[in-house]
Amino acid sequence: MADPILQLQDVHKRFPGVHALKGVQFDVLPSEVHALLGENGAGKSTLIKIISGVHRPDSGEMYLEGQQTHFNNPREAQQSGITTIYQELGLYPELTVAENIFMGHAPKRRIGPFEMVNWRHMEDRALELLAELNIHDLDVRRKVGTLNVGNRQRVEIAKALSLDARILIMDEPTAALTEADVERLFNIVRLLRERGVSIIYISHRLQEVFELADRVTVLRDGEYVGTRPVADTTEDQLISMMVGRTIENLFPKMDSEIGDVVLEVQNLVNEPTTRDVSFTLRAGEIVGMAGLVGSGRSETAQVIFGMLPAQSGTVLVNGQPVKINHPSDAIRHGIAYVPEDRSTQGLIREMNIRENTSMAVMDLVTALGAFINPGRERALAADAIDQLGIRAYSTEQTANKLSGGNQQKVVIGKWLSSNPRVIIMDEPTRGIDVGAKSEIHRRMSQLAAEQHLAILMISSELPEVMGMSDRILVMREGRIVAEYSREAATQEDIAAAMMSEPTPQEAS
Amino acid sequence: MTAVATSKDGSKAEAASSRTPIVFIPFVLGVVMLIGYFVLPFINQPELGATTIPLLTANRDNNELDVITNGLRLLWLSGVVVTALGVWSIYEPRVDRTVSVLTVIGGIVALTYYVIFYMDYRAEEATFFSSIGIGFWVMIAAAVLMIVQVAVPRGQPAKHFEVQYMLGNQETVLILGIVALLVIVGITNPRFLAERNLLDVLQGNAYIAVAAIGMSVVIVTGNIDISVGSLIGLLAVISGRLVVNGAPVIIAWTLPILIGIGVGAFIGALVAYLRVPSIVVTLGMLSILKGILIIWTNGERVTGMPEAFFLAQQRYLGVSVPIWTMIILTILAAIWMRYSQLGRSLYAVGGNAEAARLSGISPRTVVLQAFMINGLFTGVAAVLYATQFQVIQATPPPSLELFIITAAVVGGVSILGGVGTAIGATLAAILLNMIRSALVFINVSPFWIQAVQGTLILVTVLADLLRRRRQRQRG
Repeated sequence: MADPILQLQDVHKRFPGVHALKGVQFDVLPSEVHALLGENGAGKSTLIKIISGVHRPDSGEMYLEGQQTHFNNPREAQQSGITTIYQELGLYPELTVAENIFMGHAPKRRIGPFEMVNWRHMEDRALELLAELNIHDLDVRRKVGTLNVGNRQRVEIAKALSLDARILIMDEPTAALTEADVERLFNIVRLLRERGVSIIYISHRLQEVFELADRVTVLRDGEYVGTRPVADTTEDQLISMMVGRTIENLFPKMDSEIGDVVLEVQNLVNEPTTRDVSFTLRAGEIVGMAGLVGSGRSETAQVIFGMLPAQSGTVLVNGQPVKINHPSDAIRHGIAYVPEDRSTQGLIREMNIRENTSMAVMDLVTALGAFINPGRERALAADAIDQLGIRAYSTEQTANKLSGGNQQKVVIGKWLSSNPRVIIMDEPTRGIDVGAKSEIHRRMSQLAAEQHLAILMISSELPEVMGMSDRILVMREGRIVAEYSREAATQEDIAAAMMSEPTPQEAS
Repeated sequence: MTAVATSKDGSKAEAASSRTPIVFIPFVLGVVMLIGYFVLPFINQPELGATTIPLLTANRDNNELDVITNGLRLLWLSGVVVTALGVWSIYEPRVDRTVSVLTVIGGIVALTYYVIFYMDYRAEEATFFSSIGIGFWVMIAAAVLMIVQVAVPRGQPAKHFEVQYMLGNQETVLILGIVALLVIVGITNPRFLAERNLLDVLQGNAYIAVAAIGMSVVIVTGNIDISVGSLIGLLAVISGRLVVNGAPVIIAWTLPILIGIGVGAFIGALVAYLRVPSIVVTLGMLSILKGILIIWTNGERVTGMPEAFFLAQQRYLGVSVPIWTMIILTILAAIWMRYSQLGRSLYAVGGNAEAARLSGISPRTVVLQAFMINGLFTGVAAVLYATQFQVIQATPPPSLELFIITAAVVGGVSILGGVGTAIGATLAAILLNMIRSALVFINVSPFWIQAVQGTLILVTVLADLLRRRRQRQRG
């Protein structure tokens, strides 16, 4: 076996409240495609950010061609030949293909005392680079904004080549591509491998790993699980390596009496993220919705809540079809939605807890026609603080001075104030500390068991889904592909349904 | 999570643990100032001694000599204060070191000028502000920035009525500014404090304050209206022409307000429903309205209005209508913005439009209504402006919109939306106009108001951004 071009040993990285990497090792051989696998939160992103110089490890060594190195910033990594292609493409839509490829290192020529960009040379070089990738159908003078995602990605790869990248990190490169584009991308990746470039390939799609990669490394909960040559492993083995995460302090779910259907969704469509989605939610029931990021879970919830338009399909509340065109309609019908991203969708950071809590129920705290009664608001907020255990010195504390967990509790409190019958929680415990997590789980459990709320919980953490749900739905590519009862579900089955082609394991 | 102190802040973090009681700082400064103020000029210029102690000279002529010595005294005073503040702030963890250094430099520059001017004065060619220039403004800017930095409550949550909490309010800072201005300029020239003058300042300023409240409403939603100046000018002329052409006074007062609301609705609709950025829409409106005004008036002033028309000249209980209007509208707007559903929605939309939408608020409707309310306040401001003098100018005062926006922003309305109050806007309008008047009283060209205005707006916006950045880092 050749010497690794890149090697990491015993890498640790801590963020406030999270031990993201716990002694991870990783190595890349010359001319290999090395896949990196793991669930959301397993530490893949942190690892590639360390390799590409975005983060510095707290401890551990990194060797580049046998030399111990560290990068202070992404530029240093780039100069050492490590380039990353992120999911959100880092191109300038208003500039041409050639300009994008040579952004920051355009070929120059001197005209008298001035150093000018040599446009013709730049365009020629761009054409050459694209030709090396077997791309002959891309006009280098076109603005990148007019290209489709697949072509933009090719531009990114050409840009990496123009920087003489020896290691190319691709973070879920196929997430937004059409099938034809995926095939072209694979061809380019293989071409690069032949030319001696090493590729670190992150993907959730197991088939791609088997089709493309030479070796695969699995991370779980920030720990190194193992590295296998792809030829010697199977999908089942990889899945069992990935799952089996544990969450500390998961609150034991209370038994709940499951009542009538409160929310029924029939054939909901909003292409391309929601494709013919149907399911029911019963009073007192917690339904977990699993799926990869981008599988359409949040978008489906947003269609139900009136944030995104439905192209077709029906939503029934208590058996009655309802029209929901705006979140205010959903609120009126007793639906609440705790959004995925509390800072951009949930909270108004400048406002205090009191004002945030009453945001969705201003009518309830209004007296004399139009004037808000701060006393009633304060009571509402005090209630939320009490019920959810929000750590705040008073209802008047500004939201942005709270910790992440407490901010999330404020958002949940806001939605509970609206007295919903159905509450959709999108990643309710993501990025918050263990204590707050367990308090939110306790409250969710109480709401279902004692107040007979119907809860739809979208979560990327399998143990959370398994631990909290009465029933589990799995979404992939905009469809519900599997459903399990609490008893029948195993992490392996759910993970398999999330990641691979449907396996005939529909239960319940 | 509190951020880990960087090496640069390491020493400051330690100093933070033994927090200096802020209260003593002004006290110490006061002593230093008094010594400098009364003693030093006396030592340097014994022959001027009698006139440099204003408290002992009851009846003075405001002659040139006096102005120069007063100006110098002001310079000395502020130089000492600012230098001391800067030195102190180096050990104050809440202040950026850059700001500290800037402040010290500004203070030293001022003191250096003080020395130079005393030498220049002997050559009898000294003019106070002519050559002081940038140093003075750097100094003032840095000092204000620093005060705001210190004032913003951080770390431990402050309670109501604690010094830190109170200083965190822009309103408190503005009141302190107004008081400081009254004291400093009052010492220099006691006539500034005459009741007549203060009422004049308030009255001349009232229509700007009213417009600034409307502007606050718009800026709180994260938009801006730069066409108010032209609109006020146009509505004022409409008001005057109406009455000159025989319309009842009541119509001449109310129709411009209705038109103001209409124009506001038009702008609001473009911004809210067609998603045109408000700065673009109102830039267009600015030109359109100004164009209409010029074509229509042909540059001629409106005169010959009947006596009953001059609403702004009428008085109730010894106070003129504009001041009453300003006070009443400020109070009403403050209550409305704080306690009404729509008022709350303004802040919600400005703070986080997406979160507001998810909470069932319709950001579009809120923005539309905000512009209509702004139109209402602009209309009232226009009527006050039209009825204050015997003639209505064909063009509004130059850069009126800038003055109004400055008042709103200095009043604590965040340009990023979501923060600000009506009271702050009114206080800032008063402060700005008071500075303009004060410049006259210390015999400085009132054109300096432009520089003051610019400095204040920069300082406030910078302070606002810094404040948010800190909160982001902590949050």
